[in-house]
Amino acid sequence: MSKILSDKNFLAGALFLIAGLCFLGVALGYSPGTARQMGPGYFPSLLAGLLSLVGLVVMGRGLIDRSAPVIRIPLLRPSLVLVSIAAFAILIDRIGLVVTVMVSMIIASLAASPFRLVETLVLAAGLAVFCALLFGLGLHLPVQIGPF
Amino acid sequence: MDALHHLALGAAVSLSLQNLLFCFIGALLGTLIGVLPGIGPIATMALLLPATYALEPVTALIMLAGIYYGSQYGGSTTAILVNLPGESSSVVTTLDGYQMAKKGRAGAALSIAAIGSFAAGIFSTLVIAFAAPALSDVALSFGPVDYFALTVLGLILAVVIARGSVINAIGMALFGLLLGIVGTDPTSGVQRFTFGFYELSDGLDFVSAAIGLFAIAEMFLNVGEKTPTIIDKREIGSLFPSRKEWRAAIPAVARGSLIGSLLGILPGGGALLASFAAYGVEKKVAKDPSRFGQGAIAGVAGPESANNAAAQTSFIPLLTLGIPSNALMALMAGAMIIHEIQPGPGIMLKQPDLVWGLIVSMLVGNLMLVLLNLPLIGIWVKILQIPYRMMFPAIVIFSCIGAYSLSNNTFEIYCAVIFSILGVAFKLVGCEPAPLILGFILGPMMEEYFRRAMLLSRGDPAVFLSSPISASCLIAALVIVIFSVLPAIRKKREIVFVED
Repeated sequence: MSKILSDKNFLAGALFLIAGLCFLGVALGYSPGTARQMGPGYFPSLLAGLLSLVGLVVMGRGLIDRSAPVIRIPLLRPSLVLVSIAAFAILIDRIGLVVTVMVSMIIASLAASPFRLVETLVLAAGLAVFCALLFGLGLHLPVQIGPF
Repeated sequence: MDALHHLALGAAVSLSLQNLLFCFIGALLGTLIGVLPGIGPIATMALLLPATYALEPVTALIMLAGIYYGSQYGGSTTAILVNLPGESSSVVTTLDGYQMAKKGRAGAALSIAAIGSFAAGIFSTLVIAFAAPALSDVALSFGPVDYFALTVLGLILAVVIARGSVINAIGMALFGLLLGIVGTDPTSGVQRFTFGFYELSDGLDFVSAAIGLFAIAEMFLNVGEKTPTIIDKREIGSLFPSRKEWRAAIPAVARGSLIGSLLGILPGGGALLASFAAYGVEKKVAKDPSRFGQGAIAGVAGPESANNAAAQTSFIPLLTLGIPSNALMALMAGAMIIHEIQPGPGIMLKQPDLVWGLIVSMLVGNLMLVLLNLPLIGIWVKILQIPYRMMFPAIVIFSCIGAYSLSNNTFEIYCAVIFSILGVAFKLVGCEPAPLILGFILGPMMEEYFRRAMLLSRGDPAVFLSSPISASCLIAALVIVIFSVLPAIRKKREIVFVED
């Protein structure tokens, strides 16, 4: 069982099947109409059905031929990239562009190897000033620049 | 003489000061990201799209196009000097380009790549100028039935040409089509798949999808990469190819331009396919094929000309049929829609200044690129040495600001994050994101064509087989799918893409 859960094709098929069934479940709730006068549900149901079918075929291929194990990559450190983006989204409307850019940049840099503190701080400050000038003064993006 | 008239109109538009400036910015940025292996033209175009809102439509398109063909120039620099493709379409250039560099002929390889790209760029621009109006006239007589079939054929071709498994790519395209129809149904006004988020009533924003799938997901996967070691700067050697090298390169450039221009027009075609095909042809026609892989200049000249030619002629299906043939053209289509231009045969008639301004700007941009690339090679080499750990946090920030500025709402940033997680998950199980973004753009169009076709035929699906254009497209699509999953052909296809 654990082996099949690390097969590329099986997992790809499972992803397609889940996506297809989710869309199908919602799409069946919309009126399908007739082939001549299609309702909002007709085309999405058709596509979602096809996607589920593709999912089943790909999963089946994974069951028959288990020669494609998933590439394992470290997930923990790169996840800091996502944390950094989430931090940006949470902070930008609260403390303005300059501080947000610095915080996000420092979090993102933690994902890199090797992490160098001084270099990161200098780069973060530089980028914050650059962004404030470019997006605030240059492109007039309606965004709060300073922290207050 | 129509063509001359059109080119004159285009020259007037593209030579305005503002358009020249943005053409230059696009070409420069394109070269820059072409040189850098960590970020590709799709991600860059997605990041810069929000910044083009304030520009005039033609200026925005000129800049975005510059990024695409500029990246074809830049990609060759990295391929030759570092043995890494700066862009996927430069993969084959590494084979002979790097070997030339090891022999001290990097300068000659770079010159031939740039000059070949330039010649191909001029040739393919002329192809567009003559072929596009004719195709556009034909396309005007197409009905919704034909358009539906053409879209299916385009998607299938794109899927077959994509790297990796065909059935996985079909799954990605279907998933993209579904994501594309999220939002208000144009016919009934029903909110589909919005789950109560008012932000989704206009549909998912394809820019945040592209930023997530391409820019952020790529970073996620590349964070641990080390900076490439570059060949010693002093060993680039003379930029001037020898007479013998010229003699080998010129016919290869001519063949590459022709192959690239043809494969670019094909729905589903593009720079990547063209470069592989051109390399294959050069190897076939060579007197001594064993020299390939050892530093044969034809192996640089052919593919580099072909990828640039194809990058440009892939605009033809978009401008004449309104059908984007690859993920990059899907982004261009998205950019047009943002600027309220409906891509399709109508734009040639309704906005000739926009179409011809864009086409002539490619000539101008190619000239700028030759002037930009060769004398500045030292600067590009320096940029190549910037460590990835310093570069990617900046890309993270630009991704955030790009997504945020779409509607000054953090909702789009969260969308980008979700798409990046999807992108990483699919990449790990061997599915490429390009067919998804293509489906995403084509989704609403396809549904519309399907609906109208079925309405006209009073609900009879046989209509797709009674129109000759539609029938031949659908049969071609079916034949292509069957052949691409047959074992013998699948093996050949794997060999073609084996360098990846």
